[in-house]
Amino acid sequence: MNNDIKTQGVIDLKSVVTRNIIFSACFIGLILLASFPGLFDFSNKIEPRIFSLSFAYFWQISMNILIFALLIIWYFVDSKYGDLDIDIEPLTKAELLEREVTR
Amino acid sequence: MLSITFIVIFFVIVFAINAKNFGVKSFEEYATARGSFGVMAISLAVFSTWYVGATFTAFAGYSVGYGFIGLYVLTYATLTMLSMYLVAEKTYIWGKKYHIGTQAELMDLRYKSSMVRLVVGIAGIVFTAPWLLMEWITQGVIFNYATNGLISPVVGMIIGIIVVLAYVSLGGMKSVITANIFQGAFMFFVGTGVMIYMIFKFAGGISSGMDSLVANYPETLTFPGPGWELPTPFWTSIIITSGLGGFMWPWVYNKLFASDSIRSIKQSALIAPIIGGIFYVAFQLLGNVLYMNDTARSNPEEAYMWAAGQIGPFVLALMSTVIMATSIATVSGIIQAMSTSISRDVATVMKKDISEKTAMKIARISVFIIGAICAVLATVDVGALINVALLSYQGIIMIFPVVILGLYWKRANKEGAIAGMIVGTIVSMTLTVTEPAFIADLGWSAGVYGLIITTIIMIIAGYMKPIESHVEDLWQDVETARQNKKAVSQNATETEPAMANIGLKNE
Repeated sequence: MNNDIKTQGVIDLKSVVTRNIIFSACFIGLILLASFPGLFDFSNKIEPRIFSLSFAYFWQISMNILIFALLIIWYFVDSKYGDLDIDIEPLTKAELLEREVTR
Repeated sequence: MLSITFIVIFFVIVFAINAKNFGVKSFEEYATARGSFGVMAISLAVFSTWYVGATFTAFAGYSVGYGFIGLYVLTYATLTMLSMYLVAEKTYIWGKKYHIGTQAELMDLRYKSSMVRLVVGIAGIVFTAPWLLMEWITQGVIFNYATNGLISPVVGMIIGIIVVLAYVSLGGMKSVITANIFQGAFMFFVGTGVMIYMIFKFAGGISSGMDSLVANYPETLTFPGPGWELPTPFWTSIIITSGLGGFMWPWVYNKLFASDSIRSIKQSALIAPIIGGIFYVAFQLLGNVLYMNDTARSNPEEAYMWAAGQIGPFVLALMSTVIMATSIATVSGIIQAMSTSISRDVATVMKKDISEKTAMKIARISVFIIGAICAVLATVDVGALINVALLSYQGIIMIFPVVILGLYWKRANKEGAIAGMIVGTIVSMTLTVTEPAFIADLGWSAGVYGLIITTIIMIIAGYMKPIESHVEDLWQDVETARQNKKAVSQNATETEPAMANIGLKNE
């Protein structure tokens, strides 16, 4: 897995595994900001109110919006490298038996 | 009577748009609709199936009864989409190549073990059952409320059962998703619209509603809410266990096998949480605003229906239909997944030479048996069912490491998966039932401990054996698919320089 990440100062986004690791880590980081003890406790208050919402509401909604944005970026990066257009031919019954697949 | 008219019209539309789907003959079509659905269908199917009708009744206890804590659903629903995004590629590639129809069957392929398939299949059925019961009870309650008591909850429930059983058994996955498209669109546009309208009617808008809450009930705007003493890890636990377990429900996961491409699945993982987020924030804000009303606060299970009725019969009719749409969408998905699982994951494992025709027959008969059993069981107290339904999350989450490690870690093996699932579930259930002091004191739910144990067992078992050869073959399938894509993409970009210029060229 580590081989997928180039360590020469540049992260290789062409690798699906590398991309999954980086984006999942960012995703989990934002989830932790919204939920983990300490980080969540910081946001669990009414003031300052933003857009009329209590700060706790604003924080949760903001974290979710950031996650949506992250997902969209992730999707476009996947799309850029052509990893969304993978297709595969279904095996025939004979091929399935040959591969000893338990069905 | 306007409410019942709307519900009847809703049922008629569901049948009308499904008419061409009735009479499926092949089991693969019943189970997966032969991977024929695109992005909007999958997005709306995931959205409508995932939000249950009981959100508006049983679970309104959180948003109306305590306020802010109900917002945990927003964050955990988003976390669920991470699972969807991560499992998309391999689920699609292996699913299509090997004609996979269920989550349990996929695990059988990955671990090469009928026992894993059986355990995952049975876990999916058992942990789903309380949700099915609760949804049918919800339908009965909605009928009863919408007709001002004219239709009893039991009769209402039976009507709901007949409608769902009919179109699921006749049309399978194709009917379920076709109906989900309509149900999801109705939930999003009408449901969100009605709830925002109700916020304005009851509180003069979001801003003035918030002002009133800050002035009069500030405790409802933070965790844990009025009259509740809970440590923060409780909040973390409900998000983690529900978020990681949320996509492991077979009735949600199996929708992936109906998808026509990886692109559709990943686009759905973007669209579903956004429409779900907008819908749920409207629901949550309305619930929090309704806290200010004594009647709603004292009976949160009926608060949404009551509030809609206060505005007028038209709004009540819309709200009743939205709740019915939410519930029917979930129930149809559950019934289809359960019947497919009974046929494909239980019967086929026990007797391997079952023909396509027999498998189809088993699935259809299962639909009616499940319906009959649930109709009898659904006379139990709904309050008790909520606890059982919530408890089921502490069990279904054990499938998460089995699926994720199975898809991403070559060393994951069947011994670890079976032992991990069984031991993890036992630990989780035992801790939940016995409720030792440390659960309450520390705040972490039992499922978190079970999840950790399942993962540890799988990792230890993974290092006790070499990587199995069939796993290498499966990984090779994915590599080959990626290489083929790259070859096709390379050819495409050579002939389309304009595409390459905007950064779509594949190296």
